[in-house]
Amino acid sequence: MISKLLSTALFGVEAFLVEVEIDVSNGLPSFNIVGLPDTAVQESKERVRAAIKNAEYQFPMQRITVNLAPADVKKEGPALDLPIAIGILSANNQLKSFSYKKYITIGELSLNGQIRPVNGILSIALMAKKMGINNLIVPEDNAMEAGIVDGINIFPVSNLREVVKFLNQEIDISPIIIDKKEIIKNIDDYQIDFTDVKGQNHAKRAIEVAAAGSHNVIMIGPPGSGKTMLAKRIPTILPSLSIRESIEITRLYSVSNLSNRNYPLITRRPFRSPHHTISNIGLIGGGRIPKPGEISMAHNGVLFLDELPEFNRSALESLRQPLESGKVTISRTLRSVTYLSNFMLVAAANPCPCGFFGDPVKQCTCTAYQIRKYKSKISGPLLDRIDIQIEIPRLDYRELTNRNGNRDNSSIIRYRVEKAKKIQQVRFKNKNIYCNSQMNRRNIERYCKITNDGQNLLNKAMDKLKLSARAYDKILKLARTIADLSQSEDINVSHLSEAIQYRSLDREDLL
Amino acid sequence: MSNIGKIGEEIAAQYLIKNGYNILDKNISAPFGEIDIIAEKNNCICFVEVKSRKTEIYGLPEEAITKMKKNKIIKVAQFYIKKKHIKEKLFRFDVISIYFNKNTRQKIRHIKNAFSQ
Repeated sequence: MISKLLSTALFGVEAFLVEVEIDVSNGLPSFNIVGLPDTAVQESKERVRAAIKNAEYQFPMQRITVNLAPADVKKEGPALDLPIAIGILSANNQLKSFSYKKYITIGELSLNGQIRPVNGILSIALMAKKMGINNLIVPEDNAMEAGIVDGINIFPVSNLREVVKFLNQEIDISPIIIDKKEIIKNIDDYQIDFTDVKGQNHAKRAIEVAAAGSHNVIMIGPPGSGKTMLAKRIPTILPSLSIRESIEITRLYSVSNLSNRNYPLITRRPFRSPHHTISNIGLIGGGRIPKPGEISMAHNGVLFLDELPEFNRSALESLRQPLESGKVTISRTLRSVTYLSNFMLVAAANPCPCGFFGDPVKQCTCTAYQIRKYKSKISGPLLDRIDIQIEIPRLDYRELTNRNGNRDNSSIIRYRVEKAKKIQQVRFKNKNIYCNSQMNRRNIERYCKITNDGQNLLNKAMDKLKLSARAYDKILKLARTIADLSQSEDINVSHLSEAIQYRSLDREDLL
Repeated sequence: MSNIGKIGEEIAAQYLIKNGYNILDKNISAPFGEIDIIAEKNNCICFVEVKSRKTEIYGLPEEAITKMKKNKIIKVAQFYIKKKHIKEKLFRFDVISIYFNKNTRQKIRHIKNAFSQ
C-alpha cells in the first residue's frame, strides 16, 4: 500500500512543500527514508516507531520505504515526524483515506505520541497560503504563531491519536482564531527614556536624525561620557513596526527558535548588542546549514557595536556588503541562503586605547604608535558607510546637574521621528525602499534637489574638507532627513550645514 | 555446551508448536551462518534464534545477540526466502531465550519482531 501526504521543510527563512510518500510492502522488515534526509530526519525512524506503538496503533512488520520529494533538496529538522507516522498508519489501513492535497501536516513526535513544537512555523503558514493549501495541522504550541496568517485554517493538535481521529472524521477540531489586534498591540513599557541622559543635546539631535532616516551612527568619546547610555535608548524613539516589518522579523526569530509561543509576533524593534569577541559567522550568519547571524537578528532594528575597534577586523569588514544591500547571502557547499539584514548600525568607540585623546581635562597616556594602531582597526570603507559621525564630549558638573537642558522625552522624539518616516513612506511608495538612507544615486538626484545657495555651500565644503563622492551623497541623504524632520519640502542651507557637521571624521583627526 | 544449545532448541520448538506455530525447518545453514528454527503462523514466517543459558553471570541470553549475529541471520533469511521462492508472506525475526535453573523449571522468553533490517 502506498500513501501520500504534504508537509514542509525550511530552506533558510523560506519554507517549501515536501511530498511525503510512504510505501509499505511485504518483505524483510525494514524502515528506510530516502530523499536527502539529514540526521534529525533519519532519527525520526525511532521516534515514529515508538510513537505509533505508544499511541496504541500497530507498527507494520513490513518493508517500509519513505520518500521525501523533491528528492534533490536537503530536508532537516524533526518536523517531518508527524507526516511520516500518519503516512505509515494510512498505508497500513489504520487510517481512512483522506484527500491528502488539502492538508499540510507538521510536527515533531515524542516517544509517547505527544506532538512537540517546531521552528519556522510562520514561514510555513505563509507558504501554505501562497500555495493555496488551506488546512494546516500544526503542534498546539505553534498554533498562535501560525494563526498570524489569516485566510487559512490552523488545526492545533497535541498528540498522534488526536490527528488520526481528526483525519478519520471521528472528532472535530475547531481551527484557531486569534485576535490580531491583541498581539499586534505595541507594548510601550520601556524602562528607559532619553531624559535619563543629561546634556549631550548635540548627540541626541544626531540620534533623532539617524532614527528618522535609518542612518548609521558612530559615537566617539572618552569613557563615561554616555555613549552606551544613548545607544540603549535608541529603540525607545524608533517608530513602531508595521505588520510587514513585524512579520519579517518574526520569521527570522522563528527559524532561529527565538520566538515567544504565547506572543508570537514580534512587535518591538530588535536591539542587538553582540560582545566584541563575536566571530564573523556569529555576526553575519553561517554554519554548515547557514543560520542567521546578529545582523539578521537586528533586521528592522538596531545593531549596536560597543567598543568598535575591539572587534575582529575581518568581522567588521564583513559588515560592508550587508550595510549597502540590506541583506546577506551566505553560500556554503550544501546551499546558499539569503537573509534580510536591514539594520541601523550604531557604533561606539573611544578616540584612543586609554580613551582620553583630545580630552580637555585628562591627559592621554597613549603613544602615537598605539593611537595609530587603534585607529587603523576601523577601515575607511566601513567608516564611509556610517552616515553620522558624532563626538560625545566629557560632561562637566554644570551640564550634569542642569535640569532644563533636556525637555524632550522619548515619546516626543518618537512622534517627530514617526512624522518624518511618514513623509518618507509617501515619497518611496512603490519604490521598494523605505527610508532615506536606502536611496541610491538616482533617487538622490531626484529627491535631494538643493538651492543655489546650498550648492555654493556644498562646493566650498567639498573643497575645504576634501570629501569623497560617497561622502557627498551621504550629506545629501542626511540633509533630506533633516528637512523631513522639519517638515520641509526643500533642502535649504541650514539643513545642509547641519548635515555637513555630522561628517566630523571626514575633516578632523578625531579617529 | 553444545548439549545445552540442542536442548534449548528442542524446548523452543515445542514451545512454538504449543503456541500454534507450524515448524517449517530447523537448523538451516548457509555458507555464512545458520538459523535455528523457521516457523510459520498466520501467513507470517518467523526466523527464530534460540539462546540458552545456565547462569546469568555472563548476562541475559538475549544480550548475546550482537549486531554481527543479526546481520548473519538476516542474510541467511534472505537466502532461504530466495531458495524456497516464498512470496506474499510477512517476515519476522524472533528471539527465544531459555534460562535453565537447577531447581526450578526453565524460563522461556519469546521476543517477537526482535529486530529488523
